[in-house]
Amino acid sequence: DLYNSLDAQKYPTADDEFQTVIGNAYRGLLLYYDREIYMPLNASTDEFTAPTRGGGAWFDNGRWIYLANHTWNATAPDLNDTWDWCYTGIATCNNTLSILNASQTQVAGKESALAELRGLRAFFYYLLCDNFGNVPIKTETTATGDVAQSSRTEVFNFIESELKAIIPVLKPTNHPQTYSKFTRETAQTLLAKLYLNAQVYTGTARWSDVLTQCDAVIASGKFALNKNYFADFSPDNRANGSYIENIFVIPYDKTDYRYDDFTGMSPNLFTMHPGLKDKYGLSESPWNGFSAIADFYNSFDDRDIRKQGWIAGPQYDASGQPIIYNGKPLILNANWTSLQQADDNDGARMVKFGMQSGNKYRLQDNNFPVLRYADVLMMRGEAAFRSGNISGALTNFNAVRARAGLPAYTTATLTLDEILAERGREFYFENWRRNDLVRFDKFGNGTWRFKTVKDKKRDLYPIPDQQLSKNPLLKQNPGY
Amino acid sequence: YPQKNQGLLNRRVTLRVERIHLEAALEQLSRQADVRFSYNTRLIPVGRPVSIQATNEPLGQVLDRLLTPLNLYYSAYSRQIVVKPRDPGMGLIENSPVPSFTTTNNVALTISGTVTGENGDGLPGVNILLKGTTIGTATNAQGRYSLTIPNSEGTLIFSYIGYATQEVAINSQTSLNVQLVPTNQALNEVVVVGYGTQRKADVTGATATITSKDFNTGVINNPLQAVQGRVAGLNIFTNNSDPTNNRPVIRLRGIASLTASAEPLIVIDGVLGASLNAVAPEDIEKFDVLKDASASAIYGSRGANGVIIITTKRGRSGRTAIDYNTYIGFDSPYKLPNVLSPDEYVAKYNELNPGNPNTSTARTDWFKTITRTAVSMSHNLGVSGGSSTFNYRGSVAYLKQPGIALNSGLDRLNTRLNLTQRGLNDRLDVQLNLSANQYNKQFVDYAAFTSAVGYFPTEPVYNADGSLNAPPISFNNVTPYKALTVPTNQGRETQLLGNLKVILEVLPGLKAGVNTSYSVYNNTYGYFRPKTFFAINGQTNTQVSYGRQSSDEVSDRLVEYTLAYNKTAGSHTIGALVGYTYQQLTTEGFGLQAQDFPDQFSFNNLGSANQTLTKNDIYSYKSESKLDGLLARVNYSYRDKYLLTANFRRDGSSRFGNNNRYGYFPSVSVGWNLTNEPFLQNNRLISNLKLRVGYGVTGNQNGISDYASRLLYGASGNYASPTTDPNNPIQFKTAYFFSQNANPNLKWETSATTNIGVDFGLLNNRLTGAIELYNKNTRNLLFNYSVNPGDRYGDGLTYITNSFLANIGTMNNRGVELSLDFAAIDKSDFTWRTSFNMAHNVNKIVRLSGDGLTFPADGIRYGVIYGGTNGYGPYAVLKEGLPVGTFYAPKEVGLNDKGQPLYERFDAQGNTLAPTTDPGQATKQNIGNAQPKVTLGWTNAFTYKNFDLTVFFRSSLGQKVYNAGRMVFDNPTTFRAGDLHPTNVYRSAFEGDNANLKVAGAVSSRYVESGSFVRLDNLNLGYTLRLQKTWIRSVRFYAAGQNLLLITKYSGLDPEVRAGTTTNTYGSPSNASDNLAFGLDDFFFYPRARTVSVGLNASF
Repeated sequence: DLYNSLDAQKYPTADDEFQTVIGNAYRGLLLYYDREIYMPLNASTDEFTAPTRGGGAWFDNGRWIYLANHTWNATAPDLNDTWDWCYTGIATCNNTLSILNASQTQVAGKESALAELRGLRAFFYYLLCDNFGNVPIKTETTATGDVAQSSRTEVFNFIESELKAIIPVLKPTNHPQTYSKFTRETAQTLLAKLYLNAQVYTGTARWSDVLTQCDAVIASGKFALNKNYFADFSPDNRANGSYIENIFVIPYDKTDYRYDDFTGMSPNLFTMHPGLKDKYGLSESPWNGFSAIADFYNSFDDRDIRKQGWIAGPQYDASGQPIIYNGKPLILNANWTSLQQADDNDGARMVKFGMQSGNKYRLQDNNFPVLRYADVLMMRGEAAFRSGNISGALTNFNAVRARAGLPAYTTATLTLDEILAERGREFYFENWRRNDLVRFDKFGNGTWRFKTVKDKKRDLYPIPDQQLSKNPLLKQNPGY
Repeated sequence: YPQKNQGLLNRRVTLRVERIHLEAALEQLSRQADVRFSYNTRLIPVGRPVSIQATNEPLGQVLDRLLTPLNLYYSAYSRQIVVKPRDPGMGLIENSPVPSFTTTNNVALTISGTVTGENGDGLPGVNILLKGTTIGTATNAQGRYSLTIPNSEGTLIFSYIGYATQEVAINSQTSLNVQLVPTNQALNEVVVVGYGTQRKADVTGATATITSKDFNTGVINNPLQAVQGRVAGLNIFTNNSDPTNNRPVIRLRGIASLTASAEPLIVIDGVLGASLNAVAPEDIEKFDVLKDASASAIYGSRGANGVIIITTKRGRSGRTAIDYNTYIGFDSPYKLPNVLSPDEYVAKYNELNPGNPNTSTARTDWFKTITRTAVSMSHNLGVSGGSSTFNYRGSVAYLKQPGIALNSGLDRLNTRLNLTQRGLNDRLDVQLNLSANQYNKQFVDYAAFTSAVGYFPTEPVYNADGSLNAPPISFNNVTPYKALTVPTNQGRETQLLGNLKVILEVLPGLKAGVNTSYSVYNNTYGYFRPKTFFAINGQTNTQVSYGRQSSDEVSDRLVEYTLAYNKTAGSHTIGALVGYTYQQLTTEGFGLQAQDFPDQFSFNNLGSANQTLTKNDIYSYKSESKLDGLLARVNYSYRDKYLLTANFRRDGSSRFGNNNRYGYFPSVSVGWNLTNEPFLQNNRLISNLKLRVGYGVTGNQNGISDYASRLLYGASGNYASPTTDPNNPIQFKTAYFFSQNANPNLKWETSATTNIGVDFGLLNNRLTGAIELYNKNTRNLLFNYSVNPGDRYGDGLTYITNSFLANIGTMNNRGVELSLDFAAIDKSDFTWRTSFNMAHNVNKIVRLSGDGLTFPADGIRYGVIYGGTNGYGPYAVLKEGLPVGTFYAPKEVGLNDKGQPLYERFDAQGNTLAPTTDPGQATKQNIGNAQPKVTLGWTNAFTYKNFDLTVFFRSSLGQKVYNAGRMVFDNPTTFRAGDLHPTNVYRSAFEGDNANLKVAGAVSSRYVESGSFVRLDNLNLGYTLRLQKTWIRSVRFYAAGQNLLLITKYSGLDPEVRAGTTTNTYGSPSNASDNLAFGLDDFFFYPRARTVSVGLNASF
């Protein structure tokens, strides 16, 4: 007899039971901003890293060093974790599609639910395409057994056709009922993101398609820039109307973890300095991890309100007294230089995702915006710029610049380099930095403080060894 | 009046029977001696069970031994022997046949006395015979006897099954007390074979028996510690001296399972799958180990990894016996890590940081602050006795065993009552066993020991104000002392067992039996961390208290019906058994956690917490499995020369898919007692020689989850469900989804074993021994395959996770075992007995691919080592063609001039490339194996007058150990210049080759070491006071030592490290991946102790 599990022959049957199964497919997204799985892959950029500090803290078997130095190989556990996570998400979508397709039950909104699942699946394929390039395509109708790789172009085409197919079926965004759901505008924004990088993925630029999709989102009239940049990322961003800008969010719940399980929203832990625990009212001594690379922090203009998403320099408590840590005033050193022998106070720390003061849980409630309206504007601006429509580009970029409190770009100041830098300042800690650097050919071919060797092959991560050994049909990416 | 016929009584006969009817025994004798017995069946208890062992003895002597205890006598006339009850009113003399040699008229003499056994107890039913006559008697229930003999000369022969026959000259004495010595004669030992017993001489499978007199002594934490190293091929692994770690890893003849449990089945008094700790070591009479498939096949689906049958002590009819044992033991760490002393640490710091000296004055040896000499204490009381139809034994055992780590330890109380009632003229046998046990455990966070190795010796334990030091050093504000002493981490395990057996002799030779048992195991666990735990010196403490509590329960119901028939007809002895067994195992439990409540509550009042419970703070679960089996066995022997045993079992398990729910497990084995052939009879050298050959198939389903084959939904966490409230647009609800990859074809793992054995006895069995050769092929290995989520398989299924339990692989174990027992010196006041056992096993994974699942040709690496913050590894591999436990990593060939290790590298064709400094680019290769090549045990037992001494060495040779701690602590880069708080390191980090290292440790051959060792495992010196005249029988004082001496080249604390995973009370491996990666001297450890104890055993 079964006691604490449900028999698949008897569940789900009713509509509300189907909703719990569809909801599960969304749950797979949680690892997108988990400090262990996907987010660390952005520690391979010029934006941030986790230096090894005293007592070997954050050495982590060299993990952050090989990411920062671009010396990873196919055995790196981060890569396999990301691969497995994406395919687990895909398998969940495929299975859920099969269950829904096979069911005779009247499930409310079944057609749009099927489209949402295909949209979620397309998002996972987008991540695979972006990070690994040549990956197997598995759907609910694929034959049994090992699946051969598709080329990056084929993966691109698959994502494009899926998104195009579901856009007419998906529910249009309707605040707040569609909050966190994969809506029509989500699909359009994701499609714009796909086209934005089409040259990287397929060798053929698709700038006009970027414009089309961005315009469709803009035309929906549902979105605008939030007046307060930081409100988009605050612990209460689910309830403060931030959906006006956040097109697709992953909801995080501070209570959704079990003892000693850190999966979830934890900027308080992974970046904050322990001396600031009381200042921010944190329940757990922070881990003193991710820090901004000096040049990245210094790329912010002092007038840029987004710079307030970082803390650096002398730290003071609420009453204005210097914070003493380990017998010394705590001064966060933004201009730090040693990746492997960093001091405990080295590095500016990120507070863009606001600290949840007085929270007695380890995790926070900040919902994570995967796609923002600011990105729609900046993608549109970039496509316009690259298509030669400089004035159109200026309009889009300057809307975002104005909110940041910065002077408008002019035809003289708006350059490709400036676009890349501005995207960095707008989207730091939002998992887009690597994607942007690759598109501007500044990732493998770029250099910065901890990355001194150019190596174009590293624009793609290698197919993880563990996957090559499981599936004999897989071939390693070029150069690895 | 017919002539009495003494010649008839001198005919030689051989009769060896266990509990057969008197009638049947007489029938056998009549055929062999060609005589006729006549008796009145109404006066003679023809159905009384009798046992007798006689080889080539005169018929008269055999009849004396057989009939005297039954108060019968006989007369021989012509070819007929008349059996009669002894007239209670008349003396034996008048009714006994006149001895042939008595021609004198000397005055008769009455002799009386007591016959006692090894521990001074009276032995009932001992046969006493005047040599050369048929005059004899037997001792009564108290072991007393009285015998009148025709004159004052002659010799009395005292004989009793299981004891050496003694001859004592009378010399006109009227009082003769005799102490009998148990025989070493393995032949007469009875082996518990599962659903019955067999004489050792008749056994055709590979078995070993260890009785309580040969157990290890000292502080005995758990039953298997008592037999560690005593049985060839049975390896008991404990990797530390944590008293709460009281369930050792057990491996019999290597490793034959990967994902499923690789442990033998434990059977306690007929209760299958019992929890090992359901019995106190002191209550155990003996262990029978069934090693090969022909012996264990009667346990069918659970016999694949062998069977350990534990029989508890029972009362004997006769006087009340009271045994009291007590000891005090002293545990201290055998060896401490050789780290820089506090002063050396400061000196090294100052050397590396000139101009910036360490000015701290505190000096702390953290390892010493968290360890202690732990004093254990044990009391054990047993009371037993009974009448001819009823016996009992009740016992209480208590052990308080604090650990050598502060705030750790075990406190166990075992109680047991075993009752036996016979009735219906001995046709009915009822046994009731009741036991209740409680284990209180205080657990230790092993990370505290790792921390103690590297922790800053310039930090004090306490601050100046007396509070516990908590320096504001990232990740290091909890000192090792604080980690051990501040939190509460404890469990209480309670186990209750009721076991009733009823055996009824329905017809002569035909017995019907019912065996039922019900046991409940309950484990209550609690953890509490006060709000002060994470407090940091000089900082406001905003932490809150945290507690959790959980309760788990396993209930096990067993019912078995058996029908057994035994019949001897002439030279043919046949035994048959059929049975049905049903077992149901239910596991359930719940738990919760909460935070922010007054520290005084600990975890006892979680409902008072300020922090609201969320659904992630509570859980409950329940699952169940059922197993039913049909079993059958046939034993046949012809003239005690040719033996055959055949078993068959069919088992069904609810854990498997409908397609493969039932498994069939046959076995057959034959034996040839060469000693009973004419050409070996009366051989002066060879006193016993038996050849055995057996083949059988056994199964395994232990250790897989109850519903492993099924497609199930389980809760998968929260999902956001939209609302219409713009101020709170989502609410979180529970999502459900497939919880595992279903496998409807899941089936039994099966092992086919061939065993060839030789039992031998030389020099009148002074030297006995056995040699076993075996070959075991395990097929359909249950293994968690790594699969690709999203791939489709089977009938419309999709892999949802990356792990899939399937039966595909094949593994082979081959080996040889030798055991020897030699009574080297056997004088009345000095004896020396030496026993030796040796086992060699070769393990190999033959195949792991098939059924559409491709196991990678280069294997899969396991065993991520958790050191530092995120771990190293993996260091072990599972690969076709290699044994389990193979270390597989880059092989270091030396350092380059930059202090970087160079690793071997080959191309795909095997050509050597230039070595690389990148372990990721290096070729992974076989750099050692954690399985021992040879395991040895050697016991020497001496007695001199009232002194006794036992010295036991245990050894394991040829295995490798991966020394994980050295990756961090044996590397000078761990102690870096410029680091304000460098981690302390081993002294050796700055010595020899290590001193040149310039990069941090990585998994490689550098950290693989030989783990061979010889351990003086057990030494016991005792002195026995015999006090027959008083109410105390005997008192024995002893001193014992455990782990007194370790001879090894291994550089770590102890080379005997984790050897796989143990089986928890639920029958599941507690961590199945440890079965694939072992031989690791882990970062997280608990040191091994040396134990010295003193104790006394008193018998009343």
